[in-house]
Amino acid sequence: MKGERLPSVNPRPLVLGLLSLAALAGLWQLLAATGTVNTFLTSSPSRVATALVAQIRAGILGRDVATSMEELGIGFAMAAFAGVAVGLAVGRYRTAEYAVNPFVSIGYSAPFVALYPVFTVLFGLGRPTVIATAFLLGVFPIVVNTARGVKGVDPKLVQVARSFGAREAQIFYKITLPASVKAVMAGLRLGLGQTLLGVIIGELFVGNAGLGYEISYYGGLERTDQMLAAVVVTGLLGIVLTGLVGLIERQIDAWRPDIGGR
Amino acid sequence: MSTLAVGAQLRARRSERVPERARRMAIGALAVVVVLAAWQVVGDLGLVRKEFIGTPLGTLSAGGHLLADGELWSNAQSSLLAFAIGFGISIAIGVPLGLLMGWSRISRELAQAPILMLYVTPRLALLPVIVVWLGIATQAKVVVVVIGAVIPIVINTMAGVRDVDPRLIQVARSFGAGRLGLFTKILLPSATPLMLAGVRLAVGSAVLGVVIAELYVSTSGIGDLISTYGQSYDTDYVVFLVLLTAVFGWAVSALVQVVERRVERWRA
Repeated sequence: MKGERLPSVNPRPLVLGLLSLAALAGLWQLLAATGTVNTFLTSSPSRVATALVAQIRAGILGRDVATSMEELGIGFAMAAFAGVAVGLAVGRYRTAEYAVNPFVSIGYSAPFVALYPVFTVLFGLGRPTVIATAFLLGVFPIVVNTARGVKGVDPKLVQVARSFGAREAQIFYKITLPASVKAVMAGLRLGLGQTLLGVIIGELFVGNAGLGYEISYYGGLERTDQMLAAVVVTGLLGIVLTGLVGLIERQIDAWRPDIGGR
Repeated sequence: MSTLAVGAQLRARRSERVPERARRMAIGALAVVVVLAAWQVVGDLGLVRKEFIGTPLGTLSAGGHLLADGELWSNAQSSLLAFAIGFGISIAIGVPLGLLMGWSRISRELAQAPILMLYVTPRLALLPVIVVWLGIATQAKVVVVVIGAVIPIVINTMAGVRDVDPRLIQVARSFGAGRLGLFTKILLPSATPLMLAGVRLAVGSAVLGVVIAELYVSTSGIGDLISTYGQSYDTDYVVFLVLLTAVFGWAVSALVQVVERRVERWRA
C-alpha cells in the first residue's frame, strides 16, 4: 500500500495535528458541559480522564495492558514466524505460491473469531482462544507482503549470483532476504495491527482479562466513562506499537546495503 | 528492437501463460482437495471430535439445509443491507475527504493526525461503545462498517492525489487549465488507481465489521446465525457460514480488482 510516507521533521503538521485533536476534545467537552449531549451516554474528556486515573490507581489498567500485551506478544511471534516462513516459500517457489494462494484468498477475509466456541473447547477459555484469534488475523498480511517482497527481487541479481556459483542458501541470505526486508517489515507492521485487532476482538468475546474484556465489561454495565478510558488506552497502544515498528523499519532501512535495485 | 520482434515476444509470452494458468489452477485445486480430504479423514476417524472441527461433507450438507429452509437468505439480506449502506457511506465520505486532504495542505495537516490515529487503532474496539450508543439495530451495524472502511479509503485517496506527477500539473497549468480542469482532468484520473486500492482494502474491514457486530450482539444476520449455531456446537453450520463470509469478502475484493485493471488499461 502506498499511503506510507515517513513523517517529516517539519513541525507544522505536528502542531496543526495536535491543534485539531485538542479542538475535537474541546468541542466534546463543551457539548457535554452545556448539556447538549447526555454525558451518561457520551461521557466527556474530563470524565474519561478521571476514569483513566482511577483505573490506573486501582491497578486494573496495568493488569489489563499486561494481559493484552502478553497475548499480543505470543500471537504476533507465532504469526511473524509462520507468516515470514510461508511467505518466503510462496515468493520463491511457484508451486508453493499456487498451492497456498486459495487458502490465503479465503483466510484474508474470514471472520475467524466466529469460531470462538470451538476454540474455547479445543484450546481453553480466555487466553489461548484470544491468541488463536490474534494469530489467524495477523498471519495473512505477513504471508502476502513477504511473498510480494521476495517476488519483487530483481531476477537479474539472482542470475548474476548463480553465474558466480552461489548456492541456493547463499542466494537466500545474500540476496533474497536483504532485498525483500522492506516488504517483510511492511507486512509485519500490518500484521501487528491485525494481531492487535485479533487480541481486542478475541477479548470482547471470550476474554476474562485484558483491554477488550474491560471495554466489553463496562459496555455491558453502560459505564461509558470507564469503557471509553479503556478504548483510549487501546488506541494509544496501537499508536505506540505502530510508531515502534516504524522506528525499527527506518533503522533497518538505514542499515540495509543498497541492494534490490529500487 | 523492431516492432515486429516485440510483437512476436508478446505473443510468445501470451502462449506461455495458458499452460502456466492451467498449472496454477491444477496445483491450487489439488492443494484444496488434499486439505479437505485430510480434514474429512481426521473427522471421520475421530482423531479430533467431529463436533469441534466438523467435516467438509458435513459442512456441505449444513449449507444445503440452510439454503433449503430459507434461513440463510433472510439473514444474508440483513447483513448485506448493512454492508451495502455502510460501504456506500464510506465511499461517499472517504473519497471526497481524501481528495480534499490530498489537494489542500491545511486540511491535510489538520485532519491527518486524528485519521492516522484511527488508522492504527483497532477500531472494532469501539463495538461495545456503538452498542451502548445505538443499540443493536441496523444503524449500529452500519456505523461499525463505516468506521472500519472509511479510513483506508481516505488515506489511499489522499496518497493518490499526492502521488500525481507535479510535471503534469505544471504542463496543464501552462496550457491554461483552471482549478476545475486541473482537478477533473489531472488529479482525479491520476488518483483513481490508489483510490480503488483503498476501496479494495476497505472491503475486508467492512465484511469483518458486519459479521463481528452481529456476532457480538444482534437479532439477525449471518453473524447472528453463526452465534446461534456456535453456542450449540453445530460446527458444520458455523464453518459453512464462516467460509461463506470469507468467499463473499474475497469475491467483492476480486470485483474491485477487476475494476482496477480496467481503469489501468483505459489509462494506458
